[in-house]
Amino acid sequence: MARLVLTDASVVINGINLSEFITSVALSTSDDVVETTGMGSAGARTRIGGLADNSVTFEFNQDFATSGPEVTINAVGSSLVGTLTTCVIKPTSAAVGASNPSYTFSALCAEWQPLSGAVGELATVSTTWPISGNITKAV
Amino acid sequence: MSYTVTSDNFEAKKKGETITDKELLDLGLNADALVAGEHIKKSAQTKLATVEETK
Repeated sequence: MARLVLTDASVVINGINLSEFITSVALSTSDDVVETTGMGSAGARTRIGGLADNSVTFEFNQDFATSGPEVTINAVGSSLVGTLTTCVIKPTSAAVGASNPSYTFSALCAEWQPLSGAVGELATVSTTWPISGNITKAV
Repeated sequence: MSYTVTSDNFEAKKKGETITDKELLDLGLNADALVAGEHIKKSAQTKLATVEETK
């Protein structure tokens, strides 16, 4: 199995490929830990998994031009902020396969920073969105 | 309702192709946001002739 250096990750938000603006992507999943310890647990806590909690973090180079992150996510008249939106991410832009799985999910665009950066720096956006429901992995 | 794709970055269809409301719905996409972001635009609807106009 080849190791992978991310240089070509694919990020599609609401059907628009924003990969060229993405500098970082992190898909996270965790399960609640539900304790089941009772008498007779041999002096150690016992646990089972509870509800899954998924989220995704994107970092963009901001671009206000056509097809950029701003008009795609925060367009005047109909913003995705505050709504659920379909996202698909892949390790590379190649076709989906065993070595390039796709992850599809519905994320709640709970936050957006239209403008962020200091003098002399590139304008960027860093955002973390909670995921509603499961992440579907396809190979 | 149908739309014409105006963005090079739209994944489901190529620029210039047509996509319908149902296709967008099936893909889980927000049509209003895509229109507002100028990724797609509403196609001109053909006006149906009334009975009087056909006489």
